[in-house]
Amino acid sequence: MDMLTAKTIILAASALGAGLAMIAGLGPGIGEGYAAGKAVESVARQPEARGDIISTMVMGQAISESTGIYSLVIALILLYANPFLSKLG
Amino acid sequence: MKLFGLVKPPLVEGPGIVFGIPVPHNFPLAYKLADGSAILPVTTTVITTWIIMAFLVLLFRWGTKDLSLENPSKKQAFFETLYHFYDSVVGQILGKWKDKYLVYISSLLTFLFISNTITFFPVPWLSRTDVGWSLHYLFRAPTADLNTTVGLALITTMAFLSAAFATSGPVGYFKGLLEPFPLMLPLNIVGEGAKPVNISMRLFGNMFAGSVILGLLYKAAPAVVPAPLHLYFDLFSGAIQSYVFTMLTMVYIQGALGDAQPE
Repeated sequence: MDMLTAKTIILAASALGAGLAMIAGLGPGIGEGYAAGKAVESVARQPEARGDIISTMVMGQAISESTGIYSLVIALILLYANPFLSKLG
Repeated sequence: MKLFGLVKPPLVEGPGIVFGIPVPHNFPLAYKLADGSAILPVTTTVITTWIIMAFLVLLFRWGTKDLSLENPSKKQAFFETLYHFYDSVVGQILGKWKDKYLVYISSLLTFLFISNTITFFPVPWLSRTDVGWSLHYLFRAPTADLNTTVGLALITTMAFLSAAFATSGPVGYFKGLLEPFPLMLPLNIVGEGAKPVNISMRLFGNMFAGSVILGLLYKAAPAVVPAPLHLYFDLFSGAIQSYVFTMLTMVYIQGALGDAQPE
């Protein structure tokens, strides 16, 4: 296979892979929305604990966001620092 | 594309090399140029970090000058409020260990906040490229570079590892990896290693993705459309992410300290 075809295939597959990786954005979105909803419920029940609830919520959301961030980093690597292209030479 | 004789810079790009410090050939980490000489590259990230550091040092030097108990100025009231904020944030999580970690946590929070939001204030800069003059931002968020975030995450790792070593001793720390039973050792090691990876990747991913999304929008739409989004991606997201990084640092340190009390 000549170089150009190989490069084209790699680029197309990387673009597809970056798009597919971002499907993982679904999970954190649902999870963080759920956490925010629960936080709203607790603020409605106990308005005086608002500060504590919000900081705990942000912490929990930040940790559950990790999976989404990992997929984002993989998509960014595929788009901007493609390891397969450099392997091609 | 040329506009008034200026080359339009690529909107999404890595940190460019601003200048290089000439070094001998066998210098570690040197960058080889085409003509055979070696330089230590200084990138926009480093320049922006230096400017932020100088700004913070000057700001706090000026802020803590001529403090007075009887006749506090507005400036003193502002800096006292800031100190009180740091004090309560650190005290909330670290409790009695507050005094030991206040210095690190507060400088981390200030540095991260300024560097995440610095792209909100565009300072134009002209530079010479191979094809012509190029007008671009002087600043680039230092946290949108993996080198900065991994560096900060390693400092955090040192902080919580030293806290664990100081409270339970090296033997106790490695024994803790065998908890709850020895078969969990690989999982625990991965869990410890995931901490710095987690916080550095989160900060880098958020800041870099923000700049990528804004860059793509600037290519697709006139400047009026993406401009309000700077409020979200630079100010809001930057503030939240600096807070989250600091919070996670404190949570890791707290987890390493356990129930130990300061002497």
